[in-house]
Amino acid sequence: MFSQPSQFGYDKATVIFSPDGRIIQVEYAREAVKMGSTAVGLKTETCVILAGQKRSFELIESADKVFKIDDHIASTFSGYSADGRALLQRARIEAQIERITYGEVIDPEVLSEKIGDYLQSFTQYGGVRPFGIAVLFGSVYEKETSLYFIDPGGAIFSCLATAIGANEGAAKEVLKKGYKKSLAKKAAMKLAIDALKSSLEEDQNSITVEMAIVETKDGKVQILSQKDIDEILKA
Amino acid sequence: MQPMNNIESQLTKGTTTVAVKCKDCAILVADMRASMGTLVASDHAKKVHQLNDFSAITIAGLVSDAQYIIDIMQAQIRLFELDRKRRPKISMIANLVKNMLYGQYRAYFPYYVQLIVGGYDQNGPHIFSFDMAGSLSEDDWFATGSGSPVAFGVLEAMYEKDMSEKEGLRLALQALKAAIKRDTATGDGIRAVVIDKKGFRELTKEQIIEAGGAL
Repeated sequence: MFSQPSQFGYDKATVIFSPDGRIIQVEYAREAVKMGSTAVGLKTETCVILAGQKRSFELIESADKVFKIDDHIASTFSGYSADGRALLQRARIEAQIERITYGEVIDPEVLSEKIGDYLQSFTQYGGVRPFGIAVLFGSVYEKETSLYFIDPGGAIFSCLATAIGANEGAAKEVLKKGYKKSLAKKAAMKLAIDALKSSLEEDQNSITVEMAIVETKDGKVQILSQKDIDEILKA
Repeated sequence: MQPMNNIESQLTKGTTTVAVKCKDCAILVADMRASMGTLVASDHAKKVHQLNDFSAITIAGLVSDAQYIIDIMQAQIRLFELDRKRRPKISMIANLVKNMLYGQYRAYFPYYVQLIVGGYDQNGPHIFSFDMAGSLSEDDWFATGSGSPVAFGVLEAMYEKDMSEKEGLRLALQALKAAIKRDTATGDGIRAVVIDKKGFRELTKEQIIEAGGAL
């Protein structure tokens, strides 16, 4: 009910700075991200991979974890899934607006900026709360791979590899150790899965991974189920 | 004087503009006469306008509409270049123009213009033409304005693919000169622009005469 004594009500609205210059609602939003299921992303010279755990609870069937935004852009998020779905819908619309405006597919950097701008507006206007999610966009655009991370405050980072969500630190450690820009597709897939598993507390052999991959050879998003992943890794 | 209810013919300027795609450049030429019905309203009208370092637009029709479209396009392109640290492809510029024309057409007040956008990008030279309802087509050559049927005849007969700049310029000027001769609303002088891998370049009077543009 009550804010921590140190906040003195500065966490009540996003339009208010705390005396030490923080927007505390945004920091709370980052906490919401940390409660979300983990997702990892990495880009190599030839492909971008986004991976997450497809979680199911008892009688509830699992929801999707990775998404296609346009032919060439995939996305995943950690945090409140309703917020995430709303934001991804907006990303899809922005991608189509670009096609209508310029007759071209959207540059993933431009899409990230548009989504970043949108998230930023929820840190500056009254009567709203920030999105409780962090987002990854993975893409191949003009034969180049790209990976963008956007935090709930709207900050955008271009990454080689990163993880978001619960226990993201452990996943990042695995990525740091295993990452090379020259990784082949299979090795990159394995690294993404290893990173993902390292962040999970449950039995690592029983989890279901969902993955999006975009390769430079065709620039098209593929969504892979656990079965698809197993087949590729076995081959 | 023409009757007041015929305001369109009072405001709409007779013109001929010609665009030709060559192997390594896009060429845009236009006359300099602005007519109001039978009156010559200006003998130094500017009908080829630069959009950015690598693109230009020719205008025919209602001058105020055309100038407004140019202003908006220049601003849009500048914003694009600042936001994205790159130049738009010519097809992207053409798409913006198309959307502007179509939106206004569907609002029952179409911009009364015929436009050609030409330029050079990573895919080479390009020519795009529009009608005032917002249709868009990529062409090897095109002409607009009251003298365009005359210019079409010349271009249709003489255009060849992959012409050099010199050949293309000669053809564009020949088509324009035919229109100047046979269309009363076209005349008074020639403005010519070449856009190649080095960018936008407007030719001097002397260069135009040397290229075959002596009237």
